[in-house]
Amino acid sequence: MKLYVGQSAPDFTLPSHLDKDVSLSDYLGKNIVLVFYPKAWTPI
Amino acid sequence: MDAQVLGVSIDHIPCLQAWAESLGGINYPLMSDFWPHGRVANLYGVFRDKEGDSERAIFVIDKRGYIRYIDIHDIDHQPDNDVVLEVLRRVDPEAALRSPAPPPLNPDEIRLPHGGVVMYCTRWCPGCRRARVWFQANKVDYIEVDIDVTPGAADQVKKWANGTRTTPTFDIDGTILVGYDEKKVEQAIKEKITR
Repeated sequence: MKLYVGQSAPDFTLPSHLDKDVSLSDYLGKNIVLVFYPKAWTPI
Repeated sequence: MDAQVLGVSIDHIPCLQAWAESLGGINYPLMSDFWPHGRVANLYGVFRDKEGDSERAIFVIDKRGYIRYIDIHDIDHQPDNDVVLEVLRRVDPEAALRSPAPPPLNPDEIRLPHGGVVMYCTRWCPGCRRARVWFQANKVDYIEVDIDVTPGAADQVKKWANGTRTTPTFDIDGTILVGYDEKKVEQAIKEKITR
């Protein structure tokens, strides 16, 4: 599936390195920069 | 800057923790898309099937949950922070000056757009495809709400469409049109938008 500018961002929940699950919707009301990294140990 | 950074990679948690530690600690969540493998990357259309990892990609999402910017980078290149900051300023100029963010409203209310041309649709429905083509040909600015993935959107359509998930359904500045009828859509846009 391809997303487009103007669409709602699909919600999801994933485990995080801070030992807790994180959902996109936890941050509703904030601007979010969602970054996909191909792999750890690559530049951020 | 008043923005939350969220990182996603297909690595498993111990790997992300080690990585974060090696960087002297990262204060935003690094999320593991390890299992089911690449599910979220797939959801965002950035999973690379052959390699089993994701593209290097940035999505800027505004306070109401809309995608405002998509950047899919060459895998070897690092995204440019300045570009992202510039996008954030454009999306929310006040945020540069003000923090913290206001409390979130009722999610159902704030996630569904209103005003202008909004099409409630699915990725596959034939009527939606025809409507996209028509919008493009007529240079109509519109927002798509995918009812398969947007919380509350399917329920909203059902309310308008006598309990059915009819797509496309349009909200043209308050005029609700259930199903795709080019003439009616054109008429509504003439009355509501181009007036």
